Amino acid sequence: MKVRLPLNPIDEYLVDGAPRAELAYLWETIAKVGRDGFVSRAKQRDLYLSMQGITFTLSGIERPLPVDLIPRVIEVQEWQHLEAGIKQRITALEAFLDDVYGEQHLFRDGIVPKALIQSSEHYHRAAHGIKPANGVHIHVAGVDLVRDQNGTLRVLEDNLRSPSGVSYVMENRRTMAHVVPELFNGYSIRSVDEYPERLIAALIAASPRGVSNPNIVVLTPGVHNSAHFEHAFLARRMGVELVEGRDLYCRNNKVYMRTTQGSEEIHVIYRRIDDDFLDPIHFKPDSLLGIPGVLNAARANNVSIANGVGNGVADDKALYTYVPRLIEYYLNQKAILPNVDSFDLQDPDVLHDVLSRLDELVVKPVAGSGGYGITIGPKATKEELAIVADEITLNPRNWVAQPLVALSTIPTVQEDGSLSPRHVDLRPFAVNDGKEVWVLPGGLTRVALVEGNVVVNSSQGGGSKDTWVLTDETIGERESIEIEETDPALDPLNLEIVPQEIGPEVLPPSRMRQQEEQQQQYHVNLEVCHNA
Amino acid sequence: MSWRMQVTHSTSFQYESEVLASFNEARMTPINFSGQYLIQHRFKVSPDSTIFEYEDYFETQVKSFDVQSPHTSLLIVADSVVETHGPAPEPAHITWDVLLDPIFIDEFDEYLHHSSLVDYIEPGLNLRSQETPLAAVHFLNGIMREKITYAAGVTHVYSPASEAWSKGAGVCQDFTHASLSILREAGIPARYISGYLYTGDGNIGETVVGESHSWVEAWVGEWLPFDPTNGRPVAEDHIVVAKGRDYHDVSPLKGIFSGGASRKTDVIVSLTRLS
Repeated sequence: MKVRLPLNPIDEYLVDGAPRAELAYLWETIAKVGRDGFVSRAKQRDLYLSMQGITFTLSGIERPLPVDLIPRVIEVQEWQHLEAGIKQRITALEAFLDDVYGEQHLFRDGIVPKALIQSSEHYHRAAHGIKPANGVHIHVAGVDLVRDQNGTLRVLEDNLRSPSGVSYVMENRRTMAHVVPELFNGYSIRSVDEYPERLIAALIAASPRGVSNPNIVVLTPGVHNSAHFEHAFLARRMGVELVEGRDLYCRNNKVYMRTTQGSEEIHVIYRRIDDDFLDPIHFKPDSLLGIPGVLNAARANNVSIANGVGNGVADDKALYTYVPRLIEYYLNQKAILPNVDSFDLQDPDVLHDVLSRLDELVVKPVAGSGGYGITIGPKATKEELAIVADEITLNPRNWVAQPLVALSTIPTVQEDGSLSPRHVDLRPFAVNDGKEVWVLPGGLTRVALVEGNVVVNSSQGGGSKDTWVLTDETIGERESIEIEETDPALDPLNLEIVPQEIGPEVLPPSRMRQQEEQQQQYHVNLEVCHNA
Repeated sequence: MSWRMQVTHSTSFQYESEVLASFNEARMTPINFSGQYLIQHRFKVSPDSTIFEYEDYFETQVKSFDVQSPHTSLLIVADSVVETHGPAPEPAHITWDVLLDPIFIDEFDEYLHHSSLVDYIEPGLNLRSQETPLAAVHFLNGIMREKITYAAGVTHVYSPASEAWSKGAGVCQDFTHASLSILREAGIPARYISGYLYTGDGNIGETVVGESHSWVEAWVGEWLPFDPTNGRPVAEDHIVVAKGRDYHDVSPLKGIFSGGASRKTDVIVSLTRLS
């Protein structure tokens, strides 16, 4: 039996079969590459990726993380909106972390139930009293967003511990420029190469007080970790050592690295291992990945740990519901980016309602990450739903329920070279140096490569897309150079549009208007953009 | 009445072969509060080591140190002089309704849950049938020694409350964990107190062998301490060191080391009443 989602997603390229105005020229280029062209370019890409050693482990098997050859394109205005929303969110969550591991005004003011925080498995009492040198807890954040059926970008999840994927953002751009360079023609795109510089600057800014020339390392759990490629990539691009726990040791509350020339004091650790494994004195005593004593070295302000210890309490799925309130409380602003609605299962009435219509909702375990353990109501069997219902009833604190969101789609290259719409999400990355929250233009667009799959997650076999943020120039120069209009129905790649899923009626009116205006002043910038 | 006491807490570890590095945290410093004043405190580690001090989430004074010269024994001595005051007056009665207020429940959340050590036990007694929470605490304090017999060696340091309860035997830690479990089940916030108990005759200047001890504080309008192991109130002979949810939050010494296996651990607590 085929179960169809009850909502129609919108497509980010095509409206009623025709490309959005700013994509028309790109769409034409795509058509010129053609079906056979994409088949051979895909082969080139695979070869390029495996030569570069860009891999991602899925259930223990190493394989290239496929970058789809059709990019996602974000317009200037939308990016400005996203950027402002992410900065706001990270600023509020920083204030929250400072408060929750400090004075705890938010409990006194009744903003968040104390029990919600105290029962979070990521709330680390051992992190109390650790004061980051420049006040930053969230050195790097990855905020997951989705575009719903009304075209609204919504935050799905904050990742404030060790968000991964930024190396793919940079590598995807490089791969695209190598494999399909002509797609860049006519577009001026913001660079993504600045990231390592921004990160190292933020890590230097996080140095312990009095340290002017800090030694910085990237701490990895080891080669078996699924993101090891990224750890090595970032260390190399920042020009710092990539180390494992056994390479470091503490003495007298200072951290040292063992080198062939003896020991060297370390001042900043960009760690990509979880809190639980960081310091066996305070967390798992049997952890071999961490460094005994490192937490107290941070407490003594001899070393800075990035991201901060205990950040997980701020990206806990149960706290997520409260983030708009936190933005109001700490910043006195309305949230720029809305959440996906979620239901507070600790309220008995809400719980009752949710249990009665589990088949139309998405439920996720609070502690889970990576897309495992998510139940999508319309796709689950009666038996699966019954099991989930039992577990939710037993421990509502551990679950979050949300209405189904029809994730937007973008045309995606299939094995035979044709295009077919696939669901996407977006993870922009932000870096906080204590003075400014900087957002990398673009981010990682993850795409579900399986038709109809609505969970897009690189640990579930998804792929990714190069994500373009257009510059003002693209618009400006477009006005000066006119070209002939192309046939909007041009579709040599046999794009398999499922009519009931991508209809013009799902576009909000405001978007339709914008669409019309842009079509009237339709120009394309013919200048080739050398961005990579 | 107030007492002045000296307490010397020495812990020694003997290892089978050389230990190359060891990292430790000690929670052995008596705290200051209205019922107790710390006059003097010395903390020494041998082999010699630099001590880093901090106050943890539960406001306990923590001494952290590492030893990185090869060693076959480790000696830790915490020596304190403390002034203790008599038991505080009992808090005003509160009714059971107060404990049902959602704002109250949220405020005391972390002292209302079971944990791996304070697990659920079927107590076979109903605290809620007592007239007030205060009466329930008195009732519990009076009955614990009928439920558990004091016996060393029956349980170990990580035994949950249920184990001592089903065996009907244990040490102060077990009396404490079991009491916490029963109180929390009844909706009374309760926390673990670790410290020392003077067990001599009260002769001034005479040093007696005492013990590391633990007892309970229950919230009945205010935090009310009681000593279920001895079935009596907490008084001048109790010295408070740390408070927490269970033993994990207050353990006097925790650490890890690399190298030889541990052969022998000795803990000696001696107390002298000075005045």
